Amino acid sequence: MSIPPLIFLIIYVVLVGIFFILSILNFYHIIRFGFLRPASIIITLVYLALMAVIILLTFRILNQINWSQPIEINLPFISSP
Amino acid sequence: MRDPSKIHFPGQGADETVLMAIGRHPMALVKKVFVFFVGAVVPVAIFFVAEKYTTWLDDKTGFLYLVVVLLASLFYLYILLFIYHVWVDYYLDIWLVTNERVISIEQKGLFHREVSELRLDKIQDVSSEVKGFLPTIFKYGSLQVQTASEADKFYYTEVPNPEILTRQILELHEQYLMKHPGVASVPAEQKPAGEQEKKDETKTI
Repeated sequence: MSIPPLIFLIIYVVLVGIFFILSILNFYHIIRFGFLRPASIIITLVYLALMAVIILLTFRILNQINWSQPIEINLPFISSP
Repeated sequence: MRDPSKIHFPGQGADETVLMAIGRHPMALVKKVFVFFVGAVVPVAIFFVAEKYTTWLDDKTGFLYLVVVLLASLFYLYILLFIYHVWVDYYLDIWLVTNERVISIEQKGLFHREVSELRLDKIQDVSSEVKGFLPTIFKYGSLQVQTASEADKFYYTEVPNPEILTRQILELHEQYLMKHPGVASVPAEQKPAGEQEKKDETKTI
């Protein structure tokens, strides 16, 4: 059985989108209610940097995948007949 | 304690000065994020075991490799989000002590913020408690401020050096009474550490 890997990418992008929305809500609270100090700014910048690293690393690791080509679902613990 | 001179809040009076800005002790944050950091190690360990002892991840364009990488990416993104959210929640909890009142601001989740205030002349009792191994080592505990009304108590947990803060709040209370001699109030008393009243109607922060 084969499946286009684009489906997983779409699901991934949707979940990352939810992640961004929740992140923006946290930024809103810090900006509106927080006493903006160097510590809070630095921590927020570190958060943004780590977020970017994770996402960029993910796409770099998956660079070899041909998203339009279906891939075979081979699970090692399920032997094919 | 944060620098009070840099803090201005909505509703601050013209002659009102922020004297103390008390945030929670950093251990309150450490205790909550520690579990996330431990959890973050798990996928790495699983990956190394699978990479070294199995052939599951040998095909870098295969289905299993794709799913594992996407799942790991989402896992780390959401752990990062939870840690940041815990920090935001910790950062936004603060007690402000001015020359007129005590204001407690607590962020309870993303869409719930509770602000309470207590005038210095209304303070009746102030007590502190340090209980447990970590609080004793790192010098943090709880602080309770009570008014004449049985229903009004401020209870602030995981506060650094609560005994010192107790004395400072009492001093401010007495200074306030001296500056406003017309205010009818019985001077507050400091309760010995460890003696606390029931917390049935307490606003726990």
